[in-house]
Amino acid sequence: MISNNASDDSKASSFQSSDSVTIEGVVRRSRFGAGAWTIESTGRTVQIFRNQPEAILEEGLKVRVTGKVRTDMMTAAMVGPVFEVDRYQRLE
Amino acid sequence: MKRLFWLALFFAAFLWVVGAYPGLSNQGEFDSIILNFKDDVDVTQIEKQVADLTNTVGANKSSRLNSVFAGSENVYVLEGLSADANKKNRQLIKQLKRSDLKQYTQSIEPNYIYRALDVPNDPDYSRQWNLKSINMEQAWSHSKGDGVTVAVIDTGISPVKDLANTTLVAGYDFVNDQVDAADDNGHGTHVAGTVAQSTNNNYGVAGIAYRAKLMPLKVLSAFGGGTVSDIADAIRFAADNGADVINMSLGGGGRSQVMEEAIAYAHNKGVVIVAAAGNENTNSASFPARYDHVIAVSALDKDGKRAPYSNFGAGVNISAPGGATRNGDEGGILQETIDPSTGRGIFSAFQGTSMASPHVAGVAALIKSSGVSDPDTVAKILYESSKGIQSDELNEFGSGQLDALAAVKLAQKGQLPFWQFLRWLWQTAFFRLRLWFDLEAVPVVPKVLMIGVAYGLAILFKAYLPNRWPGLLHGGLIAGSAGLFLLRGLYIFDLPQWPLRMLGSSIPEWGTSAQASPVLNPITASVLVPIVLLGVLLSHPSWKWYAIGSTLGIAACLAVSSILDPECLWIGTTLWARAYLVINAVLCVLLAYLALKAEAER
Repeated sequence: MISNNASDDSKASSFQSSDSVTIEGVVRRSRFGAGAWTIESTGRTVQIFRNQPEAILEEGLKVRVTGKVRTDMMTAAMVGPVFEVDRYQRLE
Repeated sequence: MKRLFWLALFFAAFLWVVGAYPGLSNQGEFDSIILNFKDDVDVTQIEKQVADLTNTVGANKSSRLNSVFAGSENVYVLEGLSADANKKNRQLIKQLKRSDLKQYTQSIEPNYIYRALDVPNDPDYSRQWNLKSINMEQAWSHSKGDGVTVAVIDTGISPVKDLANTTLVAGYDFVNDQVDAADDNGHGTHVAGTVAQSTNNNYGVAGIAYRAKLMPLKVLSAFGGGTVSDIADAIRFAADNGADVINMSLGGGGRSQVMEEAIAYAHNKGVVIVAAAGNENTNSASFPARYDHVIAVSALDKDGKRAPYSNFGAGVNISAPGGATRNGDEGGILQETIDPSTGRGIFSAFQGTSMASPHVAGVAALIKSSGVSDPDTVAKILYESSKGIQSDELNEFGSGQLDALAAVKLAQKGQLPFWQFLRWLWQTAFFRLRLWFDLEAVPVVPKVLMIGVAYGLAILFKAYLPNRWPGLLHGGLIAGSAGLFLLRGLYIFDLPQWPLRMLGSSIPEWGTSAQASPVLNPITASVLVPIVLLGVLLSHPSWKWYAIGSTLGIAACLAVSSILDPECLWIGTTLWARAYLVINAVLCVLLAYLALKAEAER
């Protein structure tokens, strides 16, 4: 589930970098290239910016994170937009 | 009819190729001649002839039995010719054929040298299915990438052992602003390996353009991400510092003017730019692959199918091996890279469009090394030489699957024939950032035929129609026979293509068109739809013309399909399918006739 203050559009390009977004999903290690930490939520995947915070880097961990989509970034894994986490909550 | 059209084109191309080809008999090299003596010739006579021959043709040449097994067949070989003196050798054959020898021999012919394929001695080369699938062994005998520089815009390149014989030119680390652009992630070194891993060095694995130079440009930090501004700077750096090809195995973010301008700058300086289509399994290439002047590459698995993660559709120009590791490492792309936790070299099998892109960049280097400098021509050669996929309605493969051998051969042949250029123009010139048009997805000839037949039927029933045909009749005729078929090749970036495909399909095709299947569904491809349409609309004063028009249109579609492509779900392509379509076409015509007659009597 992604809730976005601006709109509910499903495309990364429509996010503004300044928008604060909350994502709920499962942390996964992607199998592309040298690997990348991602959060998979319904219908989409984001890549965790700089693999931070380390406390959520656990395969299969359910999390709720708040932060922003970095539309100015590209990645080697190319599985989804980069997400910079500001706050996180582990959902057990 | 479409097949007939392509067959005619193929035939024309074949004649052209045959006409232009100098022929194997004039091309092959040989340094010896085979003398096949007649079986009934006496052994002493043969020995005398062989001895005489050596005197006739010169002191430095000798003849011997081909092998110990050739004695009973009387096959001798005249040796000592120079392989370079092809013309002289052919004259010698003519001379021998005119001599006394002629009456004792069955044949006198060149003993052609068959060149061994360029199989590298790298011990793990056998695991690189990807290189064999693009015909690398034969391609290497034409080009190895000498004199070309490939910039790898990525996580950096670390000089692992299997890059020891590969030249790395000065690059830059845009993340940490320093000259040393070593890798701290493992992605960039792997990508660089596919382009130019040291090959024939008795170690590790092979790379495609292994004599090309690599320019390491680090824009992605250890976690694998980087900013658009750094990437744009790296593109300009590459263009200003002599790169001939840029590989970008990266993607994401939105459209950026800074990046677009950097790409245009590099393109104007003659740089070929290749990028990965993305790994989101969506119907659009991601940025930067999507930009104009960038060759967007989708990924293939070991079986040559689109890899399950690869982006496809709008923007994809060509496909290349990217591997799939879901069933183990053997399905991945193997190169030497670094283990980011230790920094040491490690052979790893990766998957991704990141791996597909450097295959194309490597082959682009081989093309450039063959003397083609213009980046648009390099792209044209890549597309034209790729192995086209027959029905690629979702544009999973772009122009087709990368073929290194065909590409270098085409590059070395020089000019492209005009019709190939036209085809390329159709495929690529419509590329824009919002819309994408793929003519290959549009079966133009059958569709025009279907519309023609529909209007032919309407003219047959002219007597029952009003003098001025209502617009809805035209609408029905087109919807029933062909639909707005040009829309089938149209893609809008980031939107699903199936609504356009539905609009671009005729009513009988609706049963399968959302799945992009060319096979007809016997439920929609039958008289059932006209029955329902007429039942509902016949009493309406204007919409009845739509129902009648579409009934005739459907008849036309079914009739043409029964001849050209009678494939139906559950029925197959048998005579039964043909019969089913013909019967339904006849029933549709009958139904339209009854409806029109009833209308006229009213």
